[in-house]
Amino acid sequence: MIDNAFELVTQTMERQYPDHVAFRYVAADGETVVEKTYAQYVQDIRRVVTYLRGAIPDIKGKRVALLSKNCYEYGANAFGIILAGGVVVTLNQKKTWPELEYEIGLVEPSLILNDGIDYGCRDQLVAAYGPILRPMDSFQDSEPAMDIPNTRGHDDLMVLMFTSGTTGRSKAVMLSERNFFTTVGEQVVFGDAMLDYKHTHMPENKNDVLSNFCILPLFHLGTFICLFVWPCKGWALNLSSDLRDFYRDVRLMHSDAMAVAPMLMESIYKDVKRGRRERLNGLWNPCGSSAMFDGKMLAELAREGMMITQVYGMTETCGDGIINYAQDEKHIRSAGKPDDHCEYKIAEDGELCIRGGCVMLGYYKDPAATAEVVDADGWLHTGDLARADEEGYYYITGRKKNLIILDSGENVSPEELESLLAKCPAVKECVVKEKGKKICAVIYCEEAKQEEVREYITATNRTLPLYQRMSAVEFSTEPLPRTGTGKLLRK
Amino acid sequence: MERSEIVSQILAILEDVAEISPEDVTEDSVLMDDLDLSSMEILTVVADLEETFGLRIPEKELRNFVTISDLADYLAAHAG
Repeated sequence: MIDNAFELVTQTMERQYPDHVAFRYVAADGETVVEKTYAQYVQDIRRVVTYLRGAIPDIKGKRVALLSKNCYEYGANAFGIILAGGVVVTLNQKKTWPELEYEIGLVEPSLILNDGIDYGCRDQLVAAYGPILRPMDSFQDSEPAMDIPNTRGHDDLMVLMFTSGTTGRSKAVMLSERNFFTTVGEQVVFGDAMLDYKHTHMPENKNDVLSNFCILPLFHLGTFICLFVWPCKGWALNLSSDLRDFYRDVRLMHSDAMAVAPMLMESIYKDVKRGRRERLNGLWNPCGSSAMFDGKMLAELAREGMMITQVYGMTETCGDGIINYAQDEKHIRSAGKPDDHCEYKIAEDGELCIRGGCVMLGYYKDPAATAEVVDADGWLHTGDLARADEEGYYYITGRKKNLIILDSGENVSPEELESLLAKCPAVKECVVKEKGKKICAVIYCEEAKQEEVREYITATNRTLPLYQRMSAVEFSTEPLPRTGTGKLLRK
Repeated sequence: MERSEIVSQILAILEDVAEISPEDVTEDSVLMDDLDLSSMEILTVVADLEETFGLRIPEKELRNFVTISDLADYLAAHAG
């Protein structure tokens, strides 16, 4: 098993699968599908190395930022930076200027490779960083570098990636080659599971060279890691850069798998339910990111012949964690069963902790924040609450910071109760919180439906242990207050 | 194209994408709140409108579309 970027490029991509398609994307005409083989890809990676050597003297350890939509050049630049000895920084091009300015200021890049599109703050970007802004295809006229030594240490900083920052300012997660290839190991097993499923459920389909549709952004680890995983088997990434183009691109590029956010899973579900499955052009493995999908929806998709998988991970674990392969209704909503490639434990307060090669080096320039999540024994505290069932399947039940701690010392996850309330058709929105030492459900529903909801809560309470029961109910005839990013306010 | 025609096109696409009856929609309807559209549904509506009107809406304009009226105004000004 390959464990470093150098061999992944110079052995696996260049020697083992040179003629396989590495990337597909739809050209600017909106119709033509462009294909790049691994041989072409590696030549471009080598061009990037030459270009960067010229542009950044003594590049080792210097940061090069990628500020771009999904495109073929994203991959070439990422590996070019890594092979040249630099550090890849991925930035979210759709952030507001104050956020971007903060992130760029923190990492102090030597160059920013950029797609040139105005997402709303192009003027500020050019004014502040014009001299180090370069187009994504700057390498095009460079000669491929043939003399690339592998000087990267397994634990050297390789990639800096920002956490989504749902709490406070975003932090830059430092990831090493070891982090990436620990996750790659887990994900290659995932690839084997896909082939097993395909051989069992679609024996007539003889093509074992699979394709993955990448529409979630490459600046996000869940997609970025695909740049490392899919080449291991010589498989292809079908790139799409805009959710608007989802149906067009998936029609033009058959894809077997796709990482999906909840809204995409719902779209796929609606297509299947409304008899419009042909729009998905044979897609059969939508992979969720354990964002607590509705179990019934997942089970229905599985019955319709889709392989439903979920990956539990976070940027701080380089996307690694647990993968759920279960297709049965009982376990399909779970986060999966841990294997032994990392260590897992559920702490006394219910928090899921992970230890192993996937755990980040730390937060960039922020040892205090690092110490808050990685303890002295190397356990990463995920901040997620989990429970395991008798068969060893893990379930993510909520976020630790939302936990209600009762006088009795018992802990209640509001998300778990909210997911029960959401099953009542009359409930439009709900938040569970502590109020006057009681567990209180705040419900937004029509006034005429309040009694129905009250009865539903009573019936639900009967199924819950005493300490989890919702003993207070408040009704609102208006939508509940939300934060600036659209999440329900809990206070 | 007349503005009323543009609005009818938007309503037809909304009905197709999100199964919302045109009778339930006014020009002031807020896409995410009143019509309860997911961001994916909004983008699918935009993609269908782009195809219908033969144009591509720049990325930075997208965040300005809050109501049906915003969409109609943009299309009235830019569709040939």
